[in-house]
Amino acid sequence: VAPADRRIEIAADMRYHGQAFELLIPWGEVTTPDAASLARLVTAFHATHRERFSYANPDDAVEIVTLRATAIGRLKKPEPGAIAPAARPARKGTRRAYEGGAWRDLPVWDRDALTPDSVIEGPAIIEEAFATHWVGRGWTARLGPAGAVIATRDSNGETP
Amino acid sequence: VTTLGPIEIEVIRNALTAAAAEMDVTIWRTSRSTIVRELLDYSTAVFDADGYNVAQSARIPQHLNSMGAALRTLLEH
Repeated sequence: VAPADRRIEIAADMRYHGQAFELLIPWGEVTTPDAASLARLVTAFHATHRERFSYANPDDAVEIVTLRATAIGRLKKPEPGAIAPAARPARKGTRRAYEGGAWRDLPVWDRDALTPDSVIEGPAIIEEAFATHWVGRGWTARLGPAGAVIATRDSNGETP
Repeated sequence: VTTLGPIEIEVIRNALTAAAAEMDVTIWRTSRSTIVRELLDYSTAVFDADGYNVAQSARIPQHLNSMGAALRTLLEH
């Protein structure tokens, strides 16, 4: 991880002296705490206490019980892979199914062979190795980014 | 007088009970007393303007009768 993509964030578990439960207060990237950053932390504690419990006692002693460091390394976001449709027809045939109160021969699509040009108008069935998808009447499904099947409802006027 | 339906009654009842329960948790989490924290020796309740208990959180239920009586006495004086 490049140095620019690293962060070490500090947080403190804090409470008023005498309490037995702490609040987790984020402190940010503090390397050498000074009076100003401590004052900022205490102010944040009073504010969080007020938010959580409806009151704060700004004049009371505040304790740090635990300090927590979180090391973060940002990784590059993976790009979605290119879609590689299987070299066979996306429409694999029809299947008899009960839909809308009657038995009909509905189109069956092959999930692995779908291309960005495939327009699947419901009612239709999409088959893949581990699942069978039902595209309902009034819905249209298309291949979206990263190979996801995205169905939109026609009556909403949504564009896929 | 407005008549409330069963759904409205349940929603209002649970909102009031939730208010009492939130008071309960606030006291528990912020208390500096071991009696409160460890023994849970306290109670919270929501009262109406006449001092009648409308919702409570059951920590020590025996508190609740006296709370209502004490509040009504305060309101009378």
